[in-house]
Amino acid sequence: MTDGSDRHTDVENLETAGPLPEPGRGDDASPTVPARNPRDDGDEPRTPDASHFVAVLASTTGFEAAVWVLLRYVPEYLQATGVGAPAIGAFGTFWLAARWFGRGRNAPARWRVIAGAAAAAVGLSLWALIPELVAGSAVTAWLLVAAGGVGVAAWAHAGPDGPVGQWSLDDGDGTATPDRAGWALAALAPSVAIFALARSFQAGYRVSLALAAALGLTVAVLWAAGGLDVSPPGRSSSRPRRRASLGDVVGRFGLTTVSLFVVVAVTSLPDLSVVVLGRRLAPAATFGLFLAAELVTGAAVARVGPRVVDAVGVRAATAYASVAAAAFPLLVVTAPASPLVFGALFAVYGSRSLGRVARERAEALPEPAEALPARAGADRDDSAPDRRELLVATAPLLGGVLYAVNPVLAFGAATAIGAVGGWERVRAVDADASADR
Amino acid sequence: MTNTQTPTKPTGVKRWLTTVDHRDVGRLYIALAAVAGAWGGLDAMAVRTELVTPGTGVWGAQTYDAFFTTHGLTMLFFFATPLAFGLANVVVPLLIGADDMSFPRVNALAFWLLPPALLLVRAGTIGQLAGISWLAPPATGWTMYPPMSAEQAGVGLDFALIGLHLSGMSTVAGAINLVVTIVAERGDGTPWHRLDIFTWSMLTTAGLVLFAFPVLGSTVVMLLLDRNVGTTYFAVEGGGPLLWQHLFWFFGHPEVYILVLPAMGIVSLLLPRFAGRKLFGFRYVVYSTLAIGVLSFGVWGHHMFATGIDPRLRASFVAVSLAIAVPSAVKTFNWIATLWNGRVRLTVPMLFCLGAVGTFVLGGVTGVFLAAAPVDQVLHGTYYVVGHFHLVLVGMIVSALFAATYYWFPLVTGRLYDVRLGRVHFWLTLGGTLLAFVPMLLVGQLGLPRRMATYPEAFVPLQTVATVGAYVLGIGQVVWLWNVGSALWRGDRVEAADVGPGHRGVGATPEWTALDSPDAEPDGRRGDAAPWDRRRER
Repeated sequence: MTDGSDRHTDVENLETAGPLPEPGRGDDASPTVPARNPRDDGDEPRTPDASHFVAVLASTTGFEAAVWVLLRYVPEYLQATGVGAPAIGAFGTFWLAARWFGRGRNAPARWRVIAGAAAAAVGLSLWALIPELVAGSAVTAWLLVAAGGVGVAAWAHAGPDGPVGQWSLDDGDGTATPDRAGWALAALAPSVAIFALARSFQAGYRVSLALAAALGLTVAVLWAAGGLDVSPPGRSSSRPRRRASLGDVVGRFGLTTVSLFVVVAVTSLPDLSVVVLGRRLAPAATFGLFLAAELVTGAAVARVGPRVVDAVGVRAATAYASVAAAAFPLLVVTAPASPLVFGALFAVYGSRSLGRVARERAEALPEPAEALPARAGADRDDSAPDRRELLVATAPLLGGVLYAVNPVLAFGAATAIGAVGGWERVRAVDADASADR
Repeated sequence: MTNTQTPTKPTGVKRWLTTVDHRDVGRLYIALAAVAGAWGGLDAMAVRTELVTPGTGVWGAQTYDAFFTTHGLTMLFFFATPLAFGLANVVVPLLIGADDMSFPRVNALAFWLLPPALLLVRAGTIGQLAGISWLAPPATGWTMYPPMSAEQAGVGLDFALIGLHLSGMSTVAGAINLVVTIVAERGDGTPWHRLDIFTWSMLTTAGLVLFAFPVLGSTVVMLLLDRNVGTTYFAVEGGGPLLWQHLFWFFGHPEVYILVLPAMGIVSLLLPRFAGRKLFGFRYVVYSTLAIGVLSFGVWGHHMFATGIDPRLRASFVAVSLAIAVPSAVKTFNWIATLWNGRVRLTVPMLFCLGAVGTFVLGGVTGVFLAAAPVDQVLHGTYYVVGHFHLVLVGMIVSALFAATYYWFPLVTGRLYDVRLGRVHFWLTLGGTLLAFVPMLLVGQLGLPRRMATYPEAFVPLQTVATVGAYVLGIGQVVWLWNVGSALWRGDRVEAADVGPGHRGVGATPEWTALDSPDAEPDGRRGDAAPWDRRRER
């Protein structure tokens, strides 16, 4: 019987001459190697950490944005494969609930992000298989839809609160800061190109699903190799979270009932097709252009909004934003089917973030301490999750049920609820103003 | 009176346009390979994008055919081969103690033939993008079998054939230079018995090039004549379409070894560095390299088992094809034995070496089955073949080439790369390779034909996995490009002795001494004396 060292010697005896002078000796023993920089990673060349940080940040945020883009199109895809509106709405509710339970982690555990990204990649891949399996077995198809939904929701639950991560179907008036809009546009551009090239919406969406799945796996690997050691720039884990006002919640509830289904309403209008560079774009690609218009306007408002609010006043800005948001659903299903009209409609809808700017301007003003209890609107709560926001998560399910009855009913109801929310917002501004006086 | 003044090396663009320094030419080769790799990689992504859906969902059949044709041509002739020759240009003279390549100007000429060759091969793609109807890309597959290749309309295929001819001339010129350099320029400290394993591999590779590429050159000229002058080399009434297959594969199978031998040499050189041991059975690894070189010219017929060639001839090709697996296995076992009881350090180059060995086992074993004519009758023309050769080409060759780019990165660029991104690149590459190509083995065994834009719906799940894997692989290469770009832009500069114990000290290969050269530039480049002048001085 031989021990390990004997076995080692046996192997050495078997070796023939080679270029290394000493068999079995590691390079580490070399006297010619000087002391190395302590931040070196193992035995290898030094690491410029910024490169890794940028890669993680870009891929994570890009993946968030890609998931957002895919969600904007998901009803079109699922409907085409035979999934009904209530089930699509249930998925939206599930997704938002997962986001609600998982929110607020600016520096989440690394393994959760890895697991969330990997689960989302698997979920997106499963969704890509749905069309063929629908024909084979309805049960299998439903299982795939559900399993894929769970995977995507896992990312919503476990992903970091990056620039786009907080952005959700219940986007209310917080849609487009310039960084969010930039990332979303970056994710939207390849999707529009794919939809423009693809011979059918389904083919284009499945390509987008596969690409997003690959990006999800990349995010998982990048986080496994280190992830983000610090919060993303501009964010802090101790940043106080603003508690939504009643008007915000009601307004967002209204929009969220149909935000999933906007794509179906728009792409079902064949006259909306746009010609770009001599090529007639598919409806899905055209819808992407409308989304881009919304994002650009939102980003522009984020830039010039404060000056506009200063010029017109908080109340007028809030009223405008409330009307822009509330009217949008009904106009989507009633406006004339013209690309220009719809482009303008989405652009105006993007400008609803003026309401958020107005609210932030109002909060930034010095306020008397005795007025705080009387404020009907935004109050601050640094720790407790706002259970009212969980209510918003139920909106897609309601919207799905209404949409199954009649699409105009769903969009009309969204406008009605949004109008109530808008009225409450304006009333809160008035109440704050009178309290300040 | 002797003039001891040496001309100053030009700077900027002029330096790169006029250089004959082997390291600069090597860098140019590597840069071109990166561009071509990205271009060919985009083709691959386009191919996989079409296969997301069972119907023609995105491109259409003709465009799909063009994509897989240009993907093959670009990757084989303008990515893998130039990358291997680029690395050899940089390190072989240093490894053997030569000042430069034997013929520096021929070396530069060999490189400068490649960019126009690439443009000619890709002219059809450019024409298609520009809307030029008569300039369509070839859509014949990279093997360009007649009669399809003889009959495809337009000049796109003619341009591609001329481009291939140019690339062949380039490769032959580079190979002649390598052979002469290794034979005649070795320093006093490098007798034959101390020649390193990478140089042995490149010597054998260059030998293969000298015998294989002229055949390709002649064959493409014959096809050009058939297409444009009316000769009948490959026409039914003349030499027949099978003549093309014989000639093409007489080049084509050695070409596979032209690609894999440098990769094997890299693994054999680097693996011991990070295992803390000598290469096990060095001599037998060299013998196996030479054996592969010889046997590789006797296996071309296994690509033609399904053509109805004489069964006795088929049997001989079966025997040689099985026999060539033996030296490959010798190498594999020697690599594993080298790792045994070693002090393995999982550096980025080592990770890529281990990935290369692992996927080579998978890709190699699946290839042995194809060497058996009865099995090949069933699997010929299926995705099984695609899975097999991509596991070797991507899993083994590309992984090994990446190992080399990381190992020699400080030497080539004078900068240090991001280690964590390197590891991410490795895992994405390995994971993407397995996800993309193992499903192809499975769908191939189920009988799915390759090179078809459409397929039955039953194959959708495995095709989707393969596509996601291909996308992961593609994104992994974006990570590599980002790592290289950011390192070149703002990476730490190499200082004389900080590239790590895997590279220097006991067991280090001699090319690293270039960093200690008294005339070394701050970025690790050699001094400003032009190589031909250094040679003249000597």
